[in-house]
Amino acid sequence: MNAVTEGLAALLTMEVLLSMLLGLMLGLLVGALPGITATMAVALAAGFTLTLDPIPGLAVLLTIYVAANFGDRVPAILVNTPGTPASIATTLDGYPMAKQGKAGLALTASALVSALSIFVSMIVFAAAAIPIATLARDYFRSPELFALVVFGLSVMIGISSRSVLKGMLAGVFGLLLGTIGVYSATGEQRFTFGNINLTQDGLSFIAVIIGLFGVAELLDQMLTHHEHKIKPISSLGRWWPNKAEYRRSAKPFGIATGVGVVVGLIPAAGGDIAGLVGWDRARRASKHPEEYGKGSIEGVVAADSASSATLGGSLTTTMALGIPGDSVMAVMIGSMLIWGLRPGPTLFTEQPDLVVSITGIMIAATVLSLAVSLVRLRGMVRLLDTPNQYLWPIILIFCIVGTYATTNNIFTVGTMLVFGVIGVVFKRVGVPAGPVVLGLLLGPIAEENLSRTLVLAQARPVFDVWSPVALFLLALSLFSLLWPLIRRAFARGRGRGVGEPVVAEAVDDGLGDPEAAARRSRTSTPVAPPTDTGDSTPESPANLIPDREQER
Amino acid sequence: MSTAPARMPADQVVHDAGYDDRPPEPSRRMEVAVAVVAVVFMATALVLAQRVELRREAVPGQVDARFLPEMLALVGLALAGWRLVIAVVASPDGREDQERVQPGGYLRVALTVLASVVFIALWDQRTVTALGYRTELFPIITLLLLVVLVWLYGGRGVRALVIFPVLMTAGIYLLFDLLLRIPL
Repeated sequence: MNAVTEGLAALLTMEVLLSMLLGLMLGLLVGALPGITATMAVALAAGFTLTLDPIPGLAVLLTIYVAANFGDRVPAILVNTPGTPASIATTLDGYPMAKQGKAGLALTASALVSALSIFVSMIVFAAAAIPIATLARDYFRSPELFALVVFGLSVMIGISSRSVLKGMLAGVFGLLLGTIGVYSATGEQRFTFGNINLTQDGLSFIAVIIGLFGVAELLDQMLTHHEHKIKPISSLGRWWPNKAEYRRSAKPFGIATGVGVVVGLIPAAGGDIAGLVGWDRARRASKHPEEYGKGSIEGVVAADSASSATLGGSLTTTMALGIPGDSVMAVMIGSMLIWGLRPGPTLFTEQPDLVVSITGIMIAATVLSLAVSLVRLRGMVRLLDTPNQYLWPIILIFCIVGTYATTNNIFTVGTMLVFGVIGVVFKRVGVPAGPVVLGLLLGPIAEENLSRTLVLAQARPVFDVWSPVALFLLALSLFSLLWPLIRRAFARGRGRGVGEPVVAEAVDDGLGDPEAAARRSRTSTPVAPPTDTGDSTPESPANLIPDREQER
Repeated sequence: MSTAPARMPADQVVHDAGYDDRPPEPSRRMEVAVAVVAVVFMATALVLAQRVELRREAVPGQVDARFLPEMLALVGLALAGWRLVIAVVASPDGREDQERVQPGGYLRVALTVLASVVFIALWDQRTVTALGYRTELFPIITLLLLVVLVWLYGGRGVRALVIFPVLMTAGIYLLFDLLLRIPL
């Protein structure tokens, strides 16, 4: 009971309430503005939450995470453009519903099921986080931790790029960045070139992620901006579902929430993948699969239930194992490290009250987001018209000042800008940013544990050092990297039948970073509505999304 | 090795107004250039890793400061070489997941980066002393940066070029300097 009361008591302060309100405002705002992802917003907010205590800081970041999950449905439904990659699947039925004059109904259904599925996923988090962390703490030594890091990195590489080779190169690049600075074991300097800023702490993680996720995305929007826009649907129709619609929604909600919870537990797999997989699973189980993709409320419910249900799973993986569940969580880990909290097996076993605090923040943020979504949706629609001449300077200046705030050092701002330029070049040439960030974040952990493992291996037999768990994780890592090849061989064998769903593989955007989904998550280019394309059928959401290269 | 055929939604066309919303074409030249840059980068990293100064030899079994960078650079070099071969012999990656660069896009980005670099360089000076008064540079250069950026992105008129930059500068200064006590 102590942990519960302590965890809840930590939330009952005015500072936490204000932090949540700030996070709510920012989250809904960025969610509703296509092109600004939740990752970008959390990275930006990290700049000024570092001055807060951990709990109020977490309240800001987690509330942005939750609220963006509500706000991003608005442009997905009204302009056929996902506010963030997590709402890609929402466009499949949301926009057709809006065109039928049922935008209000789609928005309300989306908000309700998003809230419910987050609640379900938080039950999973509250129940599973401490047991998983305890298991990891008791059984994970250096070899297992090294294998876990390799596994997280390989999953990220496997799902974040059209080309696994490019993803692997990005991962190696990130790991190399992680070696810049002082080698902790011996105090020797690596790649510092006499620069005192690099000698102290290496590259600033926050500066790199704000550059790669914030500035790069902004510069890419500037490159591809044009005046052509689709006007938001203005006729919203009725708002509340009737009894029959509630009944119809139950089954897709249950199926898609289950999918979302499981996908959320997989490191680096985010709401975008879950949304598409959940939509597909619900369609297959539906009595009216032919209505999916043409404006079915079941489709909206399935897509949004699945993508929202990933939140609890992502939190569990991140907090209990120290491996980011998605891109937002990668940024969150960076902030938590600065607060002195190290996500991983020992965090929750030593501070179980933190599980309660995080659960409390997530639930309160969900309730607030739901309430605001239902009350203020009409106002949020107007955000879609915000001119870029105001939006871009605001984002850029906040990137600059927010980065500076993390270290009070102009060098950090320069680092951020350099990585912004690197990030936009990466985007244009198809190199994913996710593995770079994960490599930078996990590189030092991998090196430390590899070093210890190699020392152990000198004196003990191989299978004494590398336990079955470590070997299993390494085998899984290899499998996730080879999976594209296996899949290609399998697909060739089947002849890749027409309409065969390749939902998960079609999403290139592993870390939630808008690598592939960017095309559909900007103001300028909406997702092609299924009803608009001759060859798009409800059979294949992948018809709307470029097929992933079968690697190489 | 093949790339899936580009699937272009029916509404993606070259519009009369000159706006082209087709995705960019696959480019072998770009893929080769990326691979070459990767090879050069990894080779440089390997050389630099081998030059990391060690104050003392590692004990047997112990990993020294060169070990991981060398290993990563070697792996990276092998991957980059493999990528170069693929870039030369296989069809280039599809780019259906990207938007086409629009006219003026490169200029907009170049000027934005240039303005930011100038801003950072000036901000590094912190204060200027003129006529015996020491003045903080941050509010002044932030205001100027905002005016330049808004103008660059098409903003015109008093509201865009005066009211918005002044309010934004004041807001940022209040939030970061006065409320969060970050020394700007």
